[in-house]
Amino acid sequence: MKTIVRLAGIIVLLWAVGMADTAQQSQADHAVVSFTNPAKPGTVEVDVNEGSITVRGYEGKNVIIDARWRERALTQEKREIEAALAGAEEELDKEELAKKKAQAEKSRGMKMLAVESMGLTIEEEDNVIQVSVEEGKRAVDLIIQVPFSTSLQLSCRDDERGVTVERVDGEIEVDTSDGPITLTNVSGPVVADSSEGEIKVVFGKITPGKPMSLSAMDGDIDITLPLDVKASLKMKTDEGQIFTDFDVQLTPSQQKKEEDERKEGGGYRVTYEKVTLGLINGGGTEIQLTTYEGNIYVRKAK
Amino acid sequence: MLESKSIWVSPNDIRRFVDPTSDNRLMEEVGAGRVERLAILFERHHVMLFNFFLRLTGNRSHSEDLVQDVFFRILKYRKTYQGQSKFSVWMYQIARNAHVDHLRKRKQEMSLDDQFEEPASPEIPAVERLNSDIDISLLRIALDRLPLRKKEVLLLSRFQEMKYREIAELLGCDIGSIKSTVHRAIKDLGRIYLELQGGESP
Amino acid sequence: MNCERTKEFLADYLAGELDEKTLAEAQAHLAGCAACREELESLSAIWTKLGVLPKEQPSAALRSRFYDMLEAYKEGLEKGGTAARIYQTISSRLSRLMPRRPTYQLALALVLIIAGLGSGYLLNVRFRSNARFEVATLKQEVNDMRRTVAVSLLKQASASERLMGVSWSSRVDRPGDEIITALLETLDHDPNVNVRLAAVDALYLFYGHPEVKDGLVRSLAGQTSPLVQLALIDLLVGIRERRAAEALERLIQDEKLNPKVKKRAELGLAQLS
Repeated sequence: MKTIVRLAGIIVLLWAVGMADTAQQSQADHAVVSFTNPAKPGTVEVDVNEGSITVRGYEGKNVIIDARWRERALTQEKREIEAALAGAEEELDKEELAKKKAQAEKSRGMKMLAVESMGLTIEEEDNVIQVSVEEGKRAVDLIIQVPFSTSLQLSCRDDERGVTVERVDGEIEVDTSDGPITLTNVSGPVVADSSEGEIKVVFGKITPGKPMSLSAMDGDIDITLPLDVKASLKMKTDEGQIFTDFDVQLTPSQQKKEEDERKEGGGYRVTYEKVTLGLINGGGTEIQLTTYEGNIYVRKAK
Repeated sequence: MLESKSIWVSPNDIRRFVDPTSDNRLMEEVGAGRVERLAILFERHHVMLFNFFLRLTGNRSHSEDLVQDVFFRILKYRKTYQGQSKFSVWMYQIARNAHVDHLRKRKQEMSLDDQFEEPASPEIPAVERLNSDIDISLLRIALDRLPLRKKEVLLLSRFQEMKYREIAELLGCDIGSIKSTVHRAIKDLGRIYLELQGGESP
Repeated sequence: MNCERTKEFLADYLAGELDEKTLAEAQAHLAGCAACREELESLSAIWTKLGVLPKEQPSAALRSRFYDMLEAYKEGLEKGGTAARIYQTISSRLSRLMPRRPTYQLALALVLIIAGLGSGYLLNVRFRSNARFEVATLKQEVNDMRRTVAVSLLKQASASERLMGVSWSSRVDRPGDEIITALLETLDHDPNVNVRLAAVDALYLFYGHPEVKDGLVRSLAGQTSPLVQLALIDLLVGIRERRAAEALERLIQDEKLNPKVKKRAELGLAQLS
């Protein structure tokens, strides 16, 4: 059962209150959402076009969302990029059109409530809460409190603050474009990727048997694992180094070699590096770490 | 350069990709001879089942044995499943029987002075949630002190996500008595927990 | 709604099974009744508190035990087993293939005791002579099972489960069309970069298949993530797939292309010519 109607009341009420403080720099929203079945672990999915996401686990059963809007509007450059991406939709092929159509079918007859003034949309169905921000709206910093067992799917672009998560035990999926990803006291599984940010995860414990993967183009990948973890690492960095203070049992791997002797009249040969495979404490949970330019750090918890 | 997020597959679409085969149908196929289907049911249910036994017995290795036992029995009695009840209800019936048999055997084998084995890892994790960890231990002890029947009903509704109607079917009694058992179980649990805390409010 | 009735609905409230009408009636009563309110709050507190109990994970051995048992059962079935023969098969298979794991012997004993055959059965196990034939059929069954589970995992909503699906797929001997198609689909359409990356690695193992090579070349055009593009280029160049040259050329023309990917594509193109 959707709980949208209840939210609208709260948001509208607070917005009215917020309006009185027009002198303030930023405006805030506050909403409390409950899961359809609070006894069951839920999922929170957040998609922020411009802004940051902070999630903290707490001992309650509802999800508490605070939104702080920033004054900064989209720059001209970003507006153009949005337009270019919108243009790409023209090239949808048959299969993707069918998918879009199917999605429209699924939401037919239902209202997606968008609170126009603030541009924040919150929907709940069957223990999944979806929070999204309309395109073209101002940048927003979301601070969300969730029950410890919640699973998260977080996506945010265009920001130096990125995504921060603390004390959450469910599955965590994150992707950012610029911003860093910082997860502390989580147990995973974690599946994360970032184009330009660094990824840093400190595990409190590891949920065994669930594979994880972290990928970054430019940034470092820095993970801290419990001392007794049983993990099978698969690490790949094109231009960086791998550091660890664990006793890792390595399988030999080829390093990348690029030999260009054409200027001297010789040949050109590139041999591609293989992945570095390592076992900690005999191996176990599969953890894949991939970065192009960054370094990889695998630390022992102190 | 911005990485454009894939705009044609949304999380909603993924949920629709999810295998539509229901538990019931899978189990019927197992009964009909396609026993490899049990693997999917195993992947879906074994963790919940493990936790159910863990909260009942407090012992990890017994709980693993019990999970294995349940799936063995499911195989053995696969032909008796006719889709008459929801698969999970049927499975938990088997689970309860397995647990009862286990208790009977242990009574014969060991003294009643069984130590409560702390199932959590003995290492103290670096980043520790101090308050929560004490709570967890106290809760576990309190739960362990509940009489078996109340404990089962509480676990089934609070953790195994069974509806009262299903629990009533499972235990073969009326839904009203299940609800009042839950009520009393929570009350008792609260009382024991408070006592353990030394009379301070939670 | 009086106190009696309110107490009845307590269990439903806690489990979230209340319909709107009853909820409204109950809230009306609670507004005026301090005793019921107190009861509800204290019970609600404990119910919520139970949420801190962590969900524990069993050891990896549990899964192996299950799959071994399932395989053995299946084998026993295929041999036209009566109950006795099936359990004999389980016991001989388990004890033969796992000589150094005492816990399996214990588990076996448990299994047999439950089967009503008694622990003395262990001593009467007869070892089969045509071991090689059995290992072959066993492998077939393991494979079938892996295939089913892998394809099912690839469709799950959880990225971690899809990662597991890719990993299982890569461990299938002689994958059929179903696995290859599923992996290529995952490479093209999975919304998660990490899962697509894993799919590239998995497909590398099957590059002997013609559809795989075609699929990989085609996929390059549609990828938007630089990391996946890099992995694909490396793979195509590594296996010396000449047909990829055209796709690489087109890629290099794309002005939105990440400069690092462009550099790798140019190197690769040189390598393939």
